[in-house]
Parts: sequence; C-alpha cells; structure tokens
Amino acid sequence: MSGAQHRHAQGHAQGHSQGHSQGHAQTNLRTRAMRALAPLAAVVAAIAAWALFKQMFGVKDFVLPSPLGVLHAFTEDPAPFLRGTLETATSAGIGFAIAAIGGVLVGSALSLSRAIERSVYPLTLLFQMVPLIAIAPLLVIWCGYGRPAIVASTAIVAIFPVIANTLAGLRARDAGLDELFAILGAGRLATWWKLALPSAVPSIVTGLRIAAGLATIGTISGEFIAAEGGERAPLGMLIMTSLRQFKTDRVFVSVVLAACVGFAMFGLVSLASRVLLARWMRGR
Amino acid sequence: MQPQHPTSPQRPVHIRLAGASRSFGAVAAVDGVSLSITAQSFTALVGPSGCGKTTLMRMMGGLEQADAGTVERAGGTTSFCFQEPRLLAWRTIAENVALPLEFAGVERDERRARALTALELVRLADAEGLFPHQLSGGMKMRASIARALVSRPQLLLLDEPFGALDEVTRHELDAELRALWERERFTAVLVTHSMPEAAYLAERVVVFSPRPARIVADIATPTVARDARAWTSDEIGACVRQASTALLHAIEEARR
Repeated sequence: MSGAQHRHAQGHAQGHSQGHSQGHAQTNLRTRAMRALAPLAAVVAAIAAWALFKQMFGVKDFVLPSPLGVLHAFTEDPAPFLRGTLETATSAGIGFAIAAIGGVLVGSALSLSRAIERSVYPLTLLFQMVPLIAIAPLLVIWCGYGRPAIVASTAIVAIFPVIANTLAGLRARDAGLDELFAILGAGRLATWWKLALPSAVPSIVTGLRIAAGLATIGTISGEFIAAEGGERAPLGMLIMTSLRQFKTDRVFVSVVLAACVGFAMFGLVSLASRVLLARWMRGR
Repeated sequence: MQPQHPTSPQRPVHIRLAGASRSFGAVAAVDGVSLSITAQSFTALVGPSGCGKTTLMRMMGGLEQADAGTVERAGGTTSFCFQEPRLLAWRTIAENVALPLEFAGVERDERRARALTALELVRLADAEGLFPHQLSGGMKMRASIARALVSRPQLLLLDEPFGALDEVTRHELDAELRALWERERFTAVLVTHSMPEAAYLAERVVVFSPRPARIVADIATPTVARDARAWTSDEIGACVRQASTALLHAIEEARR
C-alpha cells in the first residue's frame, strides 16, 4: 500500500516539476516518503516481534495476549473503548487548555520582577517535583471523584513546562526593542502584549508541545485514582477494571488508545504551532 | 572657537547644551560640552569610536540625563534611528512603521495611511506587506527610517544608522536621507565615525576628541549639490581633510 503511494507521489512530482530540478524534487520526495515510512516500519516490526515472541515461548494470554487477540478484544465490543477514549481525550484537552492559559499567565506574572520570580518560581517547581500519584488522593478529597480531579491532575502535570518556557521566552529578547518601546511611550501592559509576549511565542510553543505530551500521562494517572466506573468509564478506569478481571487483552486495547490520545494531542498542538509560528519562523 | 556653521537669525535654536557632562561610574563619557543645534539644520557628530558621541546624542534626545550642565530642547516630537533597524519580526513592514502611532492613539485607518506615506518617503511602499526577514539590510534600515518619520518628528536623532551596511548601499541611503532632509526639513543630528558620510550628509560637522568627548572642531560643510559626484568633489574632500586633521591632532594630544 505504502509502496504504491510512494510511486504515485513520485509521478505527481514529475508532472509538476517539468524542466527544472526534476531530480532534486524526486530525491526530496523520496526522503520525505522514507521519513514517513521509517517509523511505520518500526511499528510493524515491533508487532511482528511481539507475535513471534508469544508464539515461540507459548506465553499465556493473560500474561501477553497476541496482537490479533488485542485487535479482537477491541472489535468484539468497541463501544466502551470509544466512549472511554472520548472521556479521556476530553479530560486531557480541558486540562491541557487550563495548563496552557494558566502557564502563560503565571509565567508572565513571574516575569514582572526578579524578586517575584526568585520567590515564586521554586514553588512552581513543586508541580514538577512532587509525584502526581502522591497528590492525586488529595485532589479527590478537594474535588471529589470524577472529572474535576482528573482535569486538575492533568493541568498539574502539564503546567510546569509552559511556565518555564514562557518565563524563558519573556526574558530572552533584544534590549534595543525594550528601549524602542520605552521611547515610544508604551505602557507596561502594551509592552507585554505587543513586545514581550510575541517575542516569547516560539519558546511558549515549545512548552506547549511538551505539555501536550505530558497531559495524557496526568489524565490517565488521575483516572487511576479519581475516575468513576460505569457507562462513561474513561481509559484509565478501563485499564484498572480489566486488570482486576485478568483481561489483559482489554488492558492492551486501553493502553494503545491512551497512547493514541497522547499522539493526537501532541500532533494537534504541533500542527497548530506550525500555523502560529509561520509568522515568527519564516526565513530562520 | 568661532562657529562657522550657518546660524541664520531666523532659524531658532532646537537644542542647547551648556557644559553638559555625563559619567558612567568612574568613566567620563561627555565632559562639559556646549553646543547649539539650529532648528531644521543637519548636524553630524563625529569622533573616534567610544568617544561619547552616542551618549551626547542620547542626552539630546532625553535618553540620558546630564550629571552637570544643562540640556534644553524645544518642544515637538523627537524620533530615533539606531544602528540596528529594531523591527518586530512578527509584524509586516507597514505594521512596524505604524507602531509609534499605536501609542499615540491614532486611529487604525489613519495609522495605515500615514505608514504608507512614510514608506513612500523612503521608497519602500511596495514592501509594505512583507516581513522584516524578507528584506535586505538596506531595506530594513529604510523601514526603520520610515518608522522614525511616521510621527512627523521635528527632531530626528540618528545613531550610525548605516554603520552595518555595505559601502554601496550605504552611499545610496546617505543620498536618500540627504534628499529627504532637504524636502522635509526636520532637525537632524547624526552620529557617525565616517568623515565622508558626515561631510556629505550634514551642513555642519562637529568633531569630538577621544573620551571624554570635547569639541575639537566645528565645521560648516560646502553648499554643493549632494549628487553622486559630491562624494568625490574637491569641496567635500577639503571638508573631510579639515575634519580628519582636527581629529588626528586631538588623538595625538590625548596620547601625550
């Protein structure tokens, strides 16, 4: 399938690059196709190795299900998995959004003065240093079981890289631009909005991408402790209940779907940042 | 020292420095400089690098305060041009040029119209929608000048604006700046370490000693037309020699 796509893409490029640098366009496409295919090939190889390992050593299903067994566990009754994925993705999305907005605001507040930064920044490090699993029970006490605690757990994990990168971005800019704004009589708020924040965008975007990857970890961890079962059980809950029932194939399905949520978050943020950064990064 | 520059009585004084001094810690950058800049004149401040001429210009613009002596400036808008264009990478050229008007509370439509007018002055109107990285060094500097002009300043302070450009571009921009000044007649003060540039651009060249800056020569430049030939003309050449000689004497004296 991918080979046919590859050939098709080549033919397409030839059609459009008549007369100039045809060879270059071709190699370019070939390397791009290779770049896309390489990770896919690795995944296929890993799945094959997994199936082979199970076959060779006769590993029991409840220890390690076969790839097809996992697929079957999903197709047999996909509804709870799909609902769970939606639940988890919603919590991850809300938590990430809170971390993104909160992180930029906290980072901006910290950048107001060196004194504030010195005193409060170590506190924000707590978000990073305290193991989430250790504070998750507290979140249940404060927010009760269900989404609020899970969203809080997501935001706590995701907010630190946003704060740290916002702060770094707000600090790193040409002093000449500050002087220009001062000469032009720009106020503090206008300088933040029109100079500091735009200068920090590339750095903030880096923070957001890290946060997007971390958000799902926070969500699943939160769900382990704070999720409610039943109809709308999220993936973290499905993992726990399947484990208790020794339905390892269903654990695998949930784990794969959780990874998909993480990938989707990261992919969406990367895509959005590329669009956003178009103005900042062109020509660099 | 007898000033030889054109001080016609109908042109009022724009900036008056009297015994102005400025130190940074133990280092005296400017030492008791007295100088009057006539309104609508073009004055170049030249001297060896690090002599304090930039500090002097910043004092004229109010960016630095005098430790001793006085700096008086007539009212009206003051604009700056720096050695770097200082453009915002995420804004188009027109948006960059309009920036000063945003803080002056000018309406959006008028901001845009005035930015385009300013861009036309520096022959950059067709680049209004481009981003800074799409422009050459010379074009960025033009945009920077347009931004300085957009607020219709009475005083334009230029700190080695073309110092980072290649020779050909630099001559081109010098010619345009001179033509612009002849048309618009704002008061212009230019800091440069290039004698030919000073003699070509300005009506008056003030030469400073090595740090701390003291005036060692105050020369009126010839009134020849500033076309391409002016660069190599005898009149400009004589002016450059006069200024250079004064500077060399000052450097020798400082070494002794």
